[in-house]
Amino acid sequence: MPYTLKIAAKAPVVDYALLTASAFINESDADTIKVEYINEKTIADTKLSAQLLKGDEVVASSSDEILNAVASTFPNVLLAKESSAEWIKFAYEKLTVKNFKELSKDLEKLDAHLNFRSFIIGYKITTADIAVWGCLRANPVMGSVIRNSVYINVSRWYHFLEADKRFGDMATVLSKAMNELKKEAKQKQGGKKIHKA
Amino acid sequence: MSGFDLSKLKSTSVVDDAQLSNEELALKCQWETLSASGAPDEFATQLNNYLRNNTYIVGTKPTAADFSIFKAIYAAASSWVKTQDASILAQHRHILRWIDLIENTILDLQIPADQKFKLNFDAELPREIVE
Repeated sequence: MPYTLKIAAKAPVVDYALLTASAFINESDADTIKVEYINEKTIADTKLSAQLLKGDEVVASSSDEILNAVASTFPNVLLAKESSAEWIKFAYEKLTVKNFKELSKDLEKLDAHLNFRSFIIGYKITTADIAVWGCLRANPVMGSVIRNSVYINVSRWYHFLEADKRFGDMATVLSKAMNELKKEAKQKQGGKKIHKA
Repeated sequence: MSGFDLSKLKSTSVVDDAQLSNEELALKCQWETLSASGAPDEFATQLNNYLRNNTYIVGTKPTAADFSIFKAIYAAASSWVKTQDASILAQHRHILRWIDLIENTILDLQIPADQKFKLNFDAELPREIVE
């Protein structure tokens, strides 16, 4: 049965890690995960910005839970589930922080980790890369930090992954979906007006 | 002296030259020429600076350039690792990162595990700041 990933498109922070994870899964087996963008800040009846469903049943309800769940279900696509868990936690707890002074300590750790490493774990893209990259991409203070190579190893690793369309194309995919949502909302409004008249 | 014969290594699982763009081919050629220029220290500095921002020599996948540069710089890199001197490791950190990547990807099956670089991945190096 196919999965549905609901993403609250108006959430203050959109979860790029989940979009990238879905892109990995769908590239290996098309249409396994249907991404459904909701024109709200949260998913209905929850305070969360994302939700994973299998049929009508909720599988996981917070970003880190969803990422761990898909990594368990698709171990051949989202690699290194076990060793990625601590990085998923690190990414969502530490790298979503917007206070740069606080964030900088963890960026230093990540930069040191990448001194002799091209990937976060081993020699392939793993779930850890997806989690960390996605949280940095979503963090509004990171744009200029990456561009200016404040953390050199982090910038090299970030740009290397960005060149992979499953990472780099997600912003475009998202803005297209947002435009569609806006169009739909307008049409609905327009429809109502005509009805009233 | 390394415990295996560098000249016997084969460049398997790299992107074929035919798939590279003209700019990529030029870049590959440029690095191969530099590696043979006979100024090893200068070459090492240039290569390290380049690999600071680039995971591989050309583009985002391993090419034959990674293979030939690997062979050209391997002996020097071995000597840096052996020193275990933090300042020497830091000075060449990007080359060492890349050597380890190549050794464990395109050359993984050709170099016996006990003869690969013994990099201390978590060695404490000063954070690099480039003006």
